[in-house]
Amino acid sequence: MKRLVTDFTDREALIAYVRGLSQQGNQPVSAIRGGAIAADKRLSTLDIPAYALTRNYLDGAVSRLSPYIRHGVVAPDGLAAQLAKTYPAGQRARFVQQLAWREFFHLVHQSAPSLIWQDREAYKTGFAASDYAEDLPKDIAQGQTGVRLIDQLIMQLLNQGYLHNHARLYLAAYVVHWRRVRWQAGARWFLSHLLDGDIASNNYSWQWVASTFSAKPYIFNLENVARFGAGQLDTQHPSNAIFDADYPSLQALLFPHFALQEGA
Amino acid sequence: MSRVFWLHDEGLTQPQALGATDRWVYFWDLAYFDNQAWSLKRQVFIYETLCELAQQGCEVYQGDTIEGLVALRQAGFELVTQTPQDPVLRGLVDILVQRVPDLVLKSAPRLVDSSKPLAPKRFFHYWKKVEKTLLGEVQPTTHHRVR
Repeated sequence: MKRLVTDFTDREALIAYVRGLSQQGNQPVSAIRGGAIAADKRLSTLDIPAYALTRNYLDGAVSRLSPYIRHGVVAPDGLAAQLAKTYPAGQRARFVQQLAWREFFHLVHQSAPSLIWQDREAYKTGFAASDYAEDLPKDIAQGQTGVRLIDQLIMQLLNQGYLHNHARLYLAAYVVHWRRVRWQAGARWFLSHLLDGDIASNNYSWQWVASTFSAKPYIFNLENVARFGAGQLDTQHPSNAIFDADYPSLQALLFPHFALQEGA
Repeated sequence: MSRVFWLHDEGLTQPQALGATDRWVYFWDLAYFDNQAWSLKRQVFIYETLCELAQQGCEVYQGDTIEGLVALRQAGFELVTQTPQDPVLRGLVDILVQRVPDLVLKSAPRLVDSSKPLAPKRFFHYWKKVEKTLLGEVQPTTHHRVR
């Protein structure tokens, strides 16, 4: 067994060392740092009242603690207990609820670990699983779909290894519903890149979007992105027009068979 | 008997109740990373975390996880680790248990420590069961999702 070097003069030296270990050449590295010191910095900026008000906005006061929770650097029970000492229930409820989503997905996974890559239910889109492509198209993997806001989100994923939760929903919905790709292909892609990639939370969130673990498919429209993502994404670009419709129109366009079944 | 705490990527923190003669180790296992297909970003994040832990005494080796741990057991250490939820890590644990049947598995920290098994079908069913434990009171405004 070879003892590895763990003392570096700076971050660049550490990155070069890991590049050598992993033999992954010129892949990008996130600006988000690992370790408890970085986690403590994030914790010190946590603004629970602002989180409660702005968490759904892409530039909202989200904690960005998920990579540290994923790797056990921050324990969710300790974090919840710490918040309880400072904030009343009404203020911390939405943040604690996000911790509970993670725990919920873990419980679902623990109850049936062999099903983690299986559709838990049928798609509720009017399509069968076989109607969806098995593999992630190359233009999506490379952030070259030609749809401006989607490509912006993909580049964040590839370069930073982090996406706001709302951004994950947009991207997952685009992959599954607009491009009709199986959620499993998107979930594998996210796990490869997300610093907080946690198989239970990741896969069941994709299934929640796909409708194989929810009552209906999740979709969004341009008005929603403009409301929550303005300032972060170029929502004005004409290539985003595929999202520019009201929800009944998008549902009819994306799920024509389902609309027929419903109306029958 | 002295213990070796095997750290994996779901529990990168100093083990509680670490004795004076206990050791804590992480194996940088290239086959494991190949299996996970994680990008360099993910690996750098883990390595940065390990560098901090190494300053506190964690030993970081490159090598096959199973062979390294079996060697430590054969050297007389009791092996302890956290039960993982990731299937690739679970696969490693399953192989290890065949060769080290007395491996000690500790539960991962849980948000709600329930003695009753919870197998919820939908999130909001689960939330209504745990909300009072977590918040001390019920907040009806959290009982539905906001688009």
